[in-house]
Amino acid sequence: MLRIESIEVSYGGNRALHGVCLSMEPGEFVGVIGSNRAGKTTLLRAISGLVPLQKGEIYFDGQPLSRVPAHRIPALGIAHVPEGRQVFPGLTVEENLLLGAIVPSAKAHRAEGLEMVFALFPRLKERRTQLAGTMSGGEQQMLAIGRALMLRPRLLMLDEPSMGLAPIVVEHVYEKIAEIHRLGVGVLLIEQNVSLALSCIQRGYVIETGRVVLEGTAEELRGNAAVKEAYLGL
Amino acid sequence: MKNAKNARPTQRLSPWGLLAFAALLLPPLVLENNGYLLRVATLTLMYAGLGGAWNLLGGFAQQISLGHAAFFGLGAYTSTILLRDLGLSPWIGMLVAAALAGLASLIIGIPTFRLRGHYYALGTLAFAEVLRILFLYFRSFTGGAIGLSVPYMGDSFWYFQFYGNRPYYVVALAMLAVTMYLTHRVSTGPLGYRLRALRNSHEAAEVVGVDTTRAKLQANFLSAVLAGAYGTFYAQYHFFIDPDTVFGLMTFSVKMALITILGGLGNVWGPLVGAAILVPLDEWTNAVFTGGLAGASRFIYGSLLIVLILWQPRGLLYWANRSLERLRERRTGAMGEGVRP
Amino acid sequence: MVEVLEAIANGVLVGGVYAIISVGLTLVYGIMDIVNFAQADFLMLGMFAAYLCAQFLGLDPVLSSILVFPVIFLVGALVQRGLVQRVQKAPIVSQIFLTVGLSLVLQSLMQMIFGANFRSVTTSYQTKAISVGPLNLSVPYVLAFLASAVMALALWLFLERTDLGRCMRATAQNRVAATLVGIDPSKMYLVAFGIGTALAGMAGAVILPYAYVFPTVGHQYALIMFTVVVLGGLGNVLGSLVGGLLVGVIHSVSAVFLPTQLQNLVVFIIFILTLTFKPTGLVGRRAA
Repeated sequence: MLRIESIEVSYGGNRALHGVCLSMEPGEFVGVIGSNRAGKTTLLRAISGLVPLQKGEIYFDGQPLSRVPAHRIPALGIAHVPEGRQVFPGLTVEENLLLGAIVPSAKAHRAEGLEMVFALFPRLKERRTQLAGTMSGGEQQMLAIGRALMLRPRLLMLDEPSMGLAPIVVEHVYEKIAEIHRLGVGVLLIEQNVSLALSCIQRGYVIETGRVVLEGTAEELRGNAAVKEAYLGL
Repeated sequence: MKNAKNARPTQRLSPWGLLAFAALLLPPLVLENNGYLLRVATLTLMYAGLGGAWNLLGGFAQQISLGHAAFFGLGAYTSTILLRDLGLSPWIGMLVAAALAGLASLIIGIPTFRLRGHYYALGTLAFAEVLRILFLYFRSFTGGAIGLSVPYMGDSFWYFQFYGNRPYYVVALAMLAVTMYLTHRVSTGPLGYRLRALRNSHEAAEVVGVDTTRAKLQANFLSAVLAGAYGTFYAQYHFFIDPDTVFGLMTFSVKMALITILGGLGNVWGPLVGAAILVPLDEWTNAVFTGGLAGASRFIYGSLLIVLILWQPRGLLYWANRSLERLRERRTGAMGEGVRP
Repeated sequence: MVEVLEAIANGVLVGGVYAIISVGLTLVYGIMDIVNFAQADFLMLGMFAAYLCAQFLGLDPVLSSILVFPVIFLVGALVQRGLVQRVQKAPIVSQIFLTVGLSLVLQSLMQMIFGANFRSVTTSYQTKAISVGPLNLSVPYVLAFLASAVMALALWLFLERTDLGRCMRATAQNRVAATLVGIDPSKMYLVAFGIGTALAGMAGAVILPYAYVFPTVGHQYALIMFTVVVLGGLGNVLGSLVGGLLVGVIHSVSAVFLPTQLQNLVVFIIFILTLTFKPTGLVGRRAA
């Protein structure tokens, strides 16, 4: 479904990604782990078309994405929940969700989409008329995920969904992510909290300073000595 | 990384620059004293100086003032009223004018120094407008909308009034020399470094220890002092001033900026190049398009501004430099490959 | 006392118009982060368009404002695509002087076509007034206010109730997030600029029964507009509607106590004070 072929991306004059390769099957749950500033966020931004590729290509269902403008990416079925949630603070919860389904293909199924999101996050239904900016961090994260789901994506990209949340809220959010995966949505997860990520993903890539240094199933990564030492503190 | 101190341009004046400036002594020698051409040349120097004044803040720091006519107008009225009421020589009036304009810049600075970008432009615009209204209103003192004629004192150096253009040209040239030397000193000195730092980012400049407020106030003060002095020159040369003209947005505030942008923002020579093109063009269009086509000169003016911003926002000097560099690169041929960053 | 009351009432009437001509400025700034220094000239274009409709089609300016809207929208959209879009990411100096240049071009273009003389239209209700209690209100002002109120309501409905309106608000609040849900920001820029300029044009049409039109008529309104949007918080649509009324009342009431020549002075001093002490506006935080 997603195939990334040795892409290079520069960001603010610095090379952020050096020949990264990655691939993903439909419905798979893949994680990209690594320390801060390793290039994980840039990877997602490259897929979403927010930063241009210097070299290499990204294919989604065989279609090259490098020439597709950023605002046309969602229509292909790729939803991106950016770092720091980025809800529309002055819009209500419901308006935020409706905007998630603004592309024509999703617009037709808006009502069902709302129903599905509200079933998954009952809290959002309670708060549907509240302004998004006035909600707690955890609620905003749920809203950001809910907004992405309104697109009925085949690929859901999540950038650090645990960031800045209390541990109990993180747990709740990850339960929901697992539930979304069980619905058949492919999930590409970026997470700094490696043990958390390894507990739910099927397969993972380890990125260091813009390069993939390791890849394997969650099991393999958990067992890897280098991963243990560098990220799990064992 | 290169040491920032080493990267700073030299304080020394370049001999080529001095030579180019010396060439400006030629026009009064070859052009007719009472002629139109020398008049245009004099105006060119005056506007080059005004652009240079604007350049100090607008060019180096890119804090866009749309109200510099405030200082200019203040200067024009100060010396003229002092001459009218006290018979004071405009030379002294010019000093008072410059001091008053400098003072005004500090007063304006208090409310506007925190403003950035579009907000700063709006704030300065409003200030010039407030002065314009006040000068229109206090008729008994300023002559109101009818304007003020400079009392005629005959051909007298003491009263800064001359027959013919030559003396005015020399005065304008001397003033321009002062302006350009000052901008050169600022550009190559610590103030220029601070202004360029805050141009990119106020926050980053503050992090490296630049007092941005102080730098802006200093630059604006120098800029206002110069603009005020030019106001006096304008009044003495033109013999007539009125609030709508000397405090006008399009007449002076925008023109100073346009001249600077045309030549090159933040370049010491920029305003001179800009004025050398714009002022003759302005005079020519005003002379050619009259009556029904009276709008044509402003149309050309506006179009020029738009084309410039879209095509060469860094000005003609930058463009010329780049073109020369490219030409040189081509001449050195294949060997120079890969030098371009 | 009646004098002051009447001044307040008249202030509200003109203030409604101020609100509409200014709201476009705030709309564009909110979404594009660009102050359109030529905004007042679109008001002038609208006045000329309505003037032509009155001359050649015999249409009442208040009615023809409905025709003026699409015409000025088109002009605004062309200007956005051809010029303003190109400085979207340029330094502020380019953004400021591009629209300043545009202002010069529009004014001089109209001067070359129509000359610099003042023009006006005659209407049957020009000198009529209606009495509300002790107050006498001039009919052209009342009509202009009502038309402005309708425009404000329509704009509000558009922004709150339509998908396009929601997309615009979303883009103003978070451009990247808007792109990520599939909104094309450059399309939003186009619509915002088109609507912003068209509203100014439309307001120009509705004031024609009581105002002269000439190429530089925008000067009278430019600083008032800036005051309105800064008072309301640049980028805040509701703020500029409230700010418009406020400025209208201040403007009108100050004429009771001060010579008319100093009417604008009060407004500009308020403008400078707002910039100094509360540049984010009096009405509220920045939120489109």
